[in-house]
Amino acid sequence: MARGLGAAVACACLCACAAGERAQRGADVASGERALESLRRRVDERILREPHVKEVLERSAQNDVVVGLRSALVEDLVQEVAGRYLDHVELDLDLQRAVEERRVVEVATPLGSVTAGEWRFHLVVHRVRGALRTRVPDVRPAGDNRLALRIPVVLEGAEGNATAHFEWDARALAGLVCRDFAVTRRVRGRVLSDEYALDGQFELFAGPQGVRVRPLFPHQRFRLRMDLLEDSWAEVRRALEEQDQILKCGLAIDPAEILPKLRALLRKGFDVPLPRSLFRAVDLPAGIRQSVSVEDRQVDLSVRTEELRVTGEAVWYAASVRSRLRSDP
Amino acid sequence: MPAFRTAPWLCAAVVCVGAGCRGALPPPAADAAVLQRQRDGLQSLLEEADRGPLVPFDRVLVVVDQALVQDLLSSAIPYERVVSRYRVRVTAAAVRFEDGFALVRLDGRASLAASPEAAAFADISVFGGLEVTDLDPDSGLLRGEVRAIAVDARRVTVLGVGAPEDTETLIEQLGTERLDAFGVLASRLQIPVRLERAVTLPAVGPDGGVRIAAASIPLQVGIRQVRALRGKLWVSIDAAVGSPASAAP
Repeated sequence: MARGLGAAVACACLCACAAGERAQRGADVASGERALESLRRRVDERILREPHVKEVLERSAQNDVVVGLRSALVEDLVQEVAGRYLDHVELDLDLQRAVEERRVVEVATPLGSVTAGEWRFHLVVHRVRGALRTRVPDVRPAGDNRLALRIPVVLEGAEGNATAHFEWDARALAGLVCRDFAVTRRVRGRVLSDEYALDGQFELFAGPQGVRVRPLFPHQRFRLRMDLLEDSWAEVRRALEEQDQILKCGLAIDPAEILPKLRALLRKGFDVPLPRSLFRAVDLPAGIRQSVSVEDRQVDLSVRTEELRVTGEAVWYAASVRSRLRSDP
Repeated sequence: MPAFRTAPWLCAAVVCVGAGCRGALPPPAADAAVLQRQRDGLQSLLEEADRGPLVPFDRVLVVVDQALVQDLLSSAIPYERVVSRYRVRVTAAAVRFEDGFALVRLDGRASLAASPEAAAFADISVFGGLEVTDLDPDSGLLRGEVRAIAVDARRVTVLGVGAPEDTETLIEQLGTERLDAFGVLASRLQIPVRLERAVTLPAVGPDGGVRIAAASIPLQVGIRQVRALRGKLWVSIDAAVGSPASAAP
C-alpha cells in the first residue's frame, strides 16, 4: 500500500513537473512570440517604405511570380539590341530605279541660234549591295508601354550595277551633219555614305513566358545618292566621244559639259524604301519557364500572364504559375 | 495573405504539446530553432535597414510567392532519399516566407535504410531554410536548396498500436544525426524564373534583300540578395549588358 502510495506521489510529482515544464515553455514561447511580433511590426513598417515592395504587395500580391526590370536596364538592352541588330545588316536591294535627264542643245551658227537636238540620259539602277552601320541609338520612354528610338544608320561601302542609256535626237537642220544615235552601257556605281535617321518605337508586350519587345517602325523612305565608279564614267565619256568623232557632232555634244550634269543628277539621288524585314521581336532576358526540375522529377507548369505594366521606374511582369503535369523520374 | 504565420502556429504547438498530442507541429527543439531563426532574421533585417534598402532593386527584382514553391515541392512528392543510415520518404511539404526566413517543412517517414520499413519507423519532420543559391548556367533558372535547421522524429501510433520497439532507438539515433545530412531531402529545386545570360537576336533574310546574321548580346547576371518577407521570396539580381570586360560596374 505504502509502495503504491509512493508510486502515486512520485507519479503526481512527475506530472506536476511535466505540467510546470509545459507551462514554463508555454510562457517562454508566448514571450518569444510577443518579441517576434514587435520585431515583425518594425520590419513591416520599414519594408513598406520601399516603393517597389509596396507596389508589388499592393498590385501583384496575388500573383505567383513578379519580375521587375528597371527602366534603365530595359533601355540599355533595347539600345544594344537596336544597335547590334542594325550594325550588321547586309542589304541587297533589287531596286530597278530609274533617273533621267534631258536637255535641248542649241548651237550658234552664222544664221543664228539653231536647235541642234536633244540628248536624253536614262539610267536604271538594278541592284545595290552594301552594309548598314549604326551610330549610338537614342532611346527614350514614349508612354503606352513603348520606347521611342532614333537610330542613325549609314549605308557603307555600297555598290550597285546599272544600265546607262544615252540618246541623241538631232533636229532636222542639225541632222544634216549630225545623226541620231543611242549608246547603252552597263556601268557600276557606288552609294554615297550618307547618315540616315531611323525613327521608330519598340513596344513591350507580354509574351507566353515573359516580356517581349516588338519593333514598330513606320514605312520610311530614304534618299540614296549615287555616283558612278571612275572606270564607268570613263566608259561613258569614251562612248560619247566616239559618237562625237564619228558623227561630227562636236559642236552639239560636249562630254565635258554633259558628264557633270549627269553626275549631279545621280548625286541628287532617289528615294528607296527601307525593307521592313530589318526588325524582329526580341525576348527580354527575364521570364518564366514552363518546366522545372524538382528533386528528380520534371514538373510541367501552366503559366498565365496576369499583367505587364510599364511605369516610369520599371517594367513589371506578373504571372500565375501552377504545376500541371508530373513525370516520374 | 501568407499561408500561415508564426504566432498561431506556435500557439497551436504549445496547445498540442500541452495536450500530449505530437506529430503535426514542431516539437520543443524545432520550435525553438524556428523561433530563433525568425528572431535572428528580423533583427538582421532591422540592422541592415540602416544601411540601405532591405530589398534592393537596381536592375532586376524577382518575387516568388510561397504558394508556388510549396506547389513545386508538393509536385515531386512522394519521394525517398537516403540520409546517412536512414531512408526517408517525404510525403508532405509546407513553405512559409516570413520574417526574413524562408522556412520549409518536410514531413514523412524515416526507417533504417538497411532494414525493411516494418522493422522500425518513425514520423519525421525536417525544418529548413530555403536558400536560393544561384542561376543554373544552362537553363538560367533560379536554383535553390533547403538547409535543415531542426529535425523532429516521433513514434507513430495508429489506433493505439505503437510502432515496433526498435522505433525508440531509431528516434534517438535520428535525433543525433548531423543536420546538414538532411539537406539531401530538398537539394534540387528549380524555381521557374529564368534569367538568360544573353539576348538572342534571330537571323533575318535573305528574303527581302536583307541579311542579318544571328547575334547574341551577353549579359552579366548574378544574385545579389534574397529576402523572405510577407509570404514572398524577393530575389534582387544584378544585371549588366555586355561581356565581363565591357559590362558597366
